[in-house]
Amino acid sequence: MKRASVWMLLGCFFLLSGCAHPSFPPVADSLSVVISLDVKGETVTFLNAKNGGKIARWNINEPFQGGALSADGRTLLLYGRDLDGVYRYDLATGKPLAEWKTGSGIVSAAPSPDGRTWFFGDSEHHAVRVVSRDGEEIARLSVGRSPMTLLVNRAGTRLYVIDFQDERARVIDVDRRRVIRSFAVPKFALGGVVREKQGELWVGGHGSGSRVETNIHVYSLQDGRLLRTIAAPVMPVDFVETDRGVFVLSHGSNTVYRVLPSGKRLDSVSVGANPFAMEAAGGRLYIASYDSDEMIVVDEGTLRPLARWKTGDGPLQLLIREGRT
Amino acid sequence: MKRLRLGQKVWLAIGAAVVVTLAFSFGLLNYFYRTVYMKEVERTLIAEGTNLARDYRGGAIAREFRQQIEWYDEKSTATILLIDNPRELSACFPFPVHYDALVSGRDRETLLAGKPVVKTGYEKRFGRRVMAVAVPLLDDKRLMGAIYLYMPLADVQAATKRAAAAFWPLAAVFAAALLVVGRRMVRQLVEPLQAMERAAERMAEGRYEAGIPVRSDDEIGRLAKAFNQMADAIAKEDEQKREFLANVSHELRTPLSYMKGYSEALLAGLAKTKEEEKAYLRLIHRETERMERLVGDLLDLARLEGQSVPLERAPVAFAQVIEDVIAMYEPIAAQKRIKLSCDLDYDVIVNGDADRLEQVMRNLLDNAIRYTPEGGAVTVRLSRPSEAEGELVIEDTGKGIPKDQLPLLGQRFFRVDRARTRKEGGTGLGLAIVKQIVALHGGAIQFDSDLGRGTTVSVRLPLVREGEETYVQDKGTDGVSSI
Repeated sequence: MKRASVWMLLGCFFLLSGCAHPSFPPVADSLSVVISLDVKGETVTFLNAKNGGKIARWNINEPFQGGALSADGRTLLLYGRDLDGVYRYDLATGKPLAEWKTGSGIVSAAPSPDGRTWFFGDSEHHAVRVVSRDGEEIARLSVGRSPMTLLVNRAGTRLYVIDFQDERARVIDVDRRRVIRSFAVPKFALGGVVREKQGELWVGGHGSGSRVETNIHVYSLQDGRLLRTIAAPVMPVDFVETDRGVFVLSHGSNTVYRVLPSGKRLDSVSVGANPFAMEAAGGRLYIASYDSDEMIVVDEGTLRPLARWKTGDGPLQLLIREGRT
Repeated sequence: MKRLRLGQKVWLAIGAAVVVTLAFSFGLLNYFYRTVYMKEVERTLIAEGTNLARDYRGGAIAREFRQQIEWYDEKSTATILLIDNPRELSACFPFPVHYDALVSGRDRETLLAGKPVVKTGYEKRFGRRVMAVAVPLLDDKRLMGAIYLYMPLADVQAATKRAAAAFWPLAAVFAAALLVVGRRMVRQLVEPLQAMERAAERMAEGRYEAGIPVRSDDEIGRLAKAFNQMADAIAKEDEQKREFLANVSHELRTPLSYMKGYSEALLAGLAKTKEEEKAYLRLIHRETERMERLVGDLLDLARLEGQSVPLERAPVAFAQVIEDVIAMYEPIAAQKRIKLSCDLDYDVIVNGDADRLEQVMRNLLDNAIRYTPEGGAVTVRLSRPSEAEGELVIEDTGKGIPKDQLPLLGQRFFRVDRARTRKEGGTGLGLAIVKQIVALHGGAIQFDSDLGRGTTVSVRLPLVREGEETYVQDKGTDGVSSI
């Protein structure tokens, strides 16, 4: 009798644990954290932005490929080409929120600056999907096969979609929900930065075939013309713009370049092992080193490495959440 | 389906064994080439790559190092590439850049762990099957490049092909030799069996000569020998049977012709006087008695040989039996003026059938008196040469038997002098009966004779030993002997 009840309890436990996404350790709102999305290990690691102390590690155990933070910094979204929806988590509680059933194929996500809408790049439907903050799809705009880079201007009126496969970038008028312009970019273009003041869109990439990308391509925001190229070997894939200039991360050469607004390359630092992602906050650059499973902290001004913090296996993307008092 | 003959089966077995052996050998040869030779090639490539990688000092790949690798590539039998293109090293692996890199994403993990990668199979880049080894060039955790060494598998497998080229002619010679030897073996095995089959068919038709050639001393050879012996024995037995039948009919015909002749004479009234008539009747009566004896003896012999009437065994004082028989024959001996003397050991106790032992004594004494001329002597002795055996010796002073005929004594209807014996009234079965009874008692009979001087017959019989009587009684239920 006793044994039977133990088995029943165990059965219930497995039933319950199999049905729902598990809860994770919470991340307090007050903390400024660097979030590492470790795709190889399928974990999310939260590190204290100040000292690199590990706050939490969430074992997602799903093949997610990227993520995004909501504009208010409270919600973490995870997506992946092979996931059947977008997973959402409340950081303050560590609890999963209702999953958005988008279907598979989501390869990118970006929130609008006002926090009202989300943009998702969908490689299954070759579209950018505009979704309300409640998860309702507002619009679906046809783009290329692989909209992997989504960039939003500061006002949230323009969405720049750089396609990974189709050698095209598209400009979307957010309010009118229309693609207003498209122009050619190199194949396997990835990453970029919108420089509204200069009227430029900087585009990075991997390069195709055995030819690896060594340049940043600078296009006119007005008409999509290629204005110039800036050498940043090898394979510039992530960009951050701060007061000190534009920082470019090239994963093929493990290098961070600092480029002046004029386009003049200032200096560079060798960093990490096959790094794919970079974020800037508080005068520091955080760089995810994919092959060495760590994050390298570099001083933005001197480009000197400050620290190496351990992440999960294969950090592919970084997110920064500022703490609120 | 037609049933296979033994020869064909053995042939098939040998053929199958040859094929299986060759296939197995070839498989083994291939296996060794694959595991040993290929492994050796792999080891060599790894060793070369590791040695070359040792010269890498970290940081960006130096021009000198590249030149060094190129120089080595020219000298080496393997093709050696220095890969430092991040694309070839699958640096973009998490992104779907659709590029068949020489080092795959999974290989990159291995290289990052500082271990070499071994790949065997088709490589699209080179358009052929290769054995390739990639050795990492690591600068701390950074995979700066890899030394990629490969050999077309065709080169590696050429060695296997060379081995196969040598193997198959040798295998053909081996197979041919095996088949020739096998053919001889099959012939040796099957020929005697076929000869036996033919001989058995002939025997069924009544021809008993076998003549199977005995070529070996193995089971087949011994079987052939045993078959020949069996055929001889059957032929002999058949001959004896014919002879026996001829003898029986002959023995029966003589008294019958007497009886027929004299009875016809009587019926035809040829007997002139009453005396003559009586004489005829006496003759007929005498022949009837002879026939009766003959038939009785035949029946006796048949029973003894077939053991249809078991011996009624009991401890028998043999001297007493002998005395009784002598007493029976004394008048006859006296009539023939034969001196009949005896010397008997009264302690000889035989475990036997008293009636049958008496029959032995009677037949032997009858013979002795019958063939001893008037005025001769017959001596009977019973002694105990050992604790276990008693010996009865009957010695006469008759005309004796030629030495060469001694072994034939005791055969049915054998007579030393046919005409005379028949006249004397013997059936020719007495000694055969004696021999059979003695044999049933576990004894032995021996004849000795000097022509013109007389004959000695000695019968040895096992005695009842002390304490054996009970044993004999216990054994009484086995059907052969009873109390």
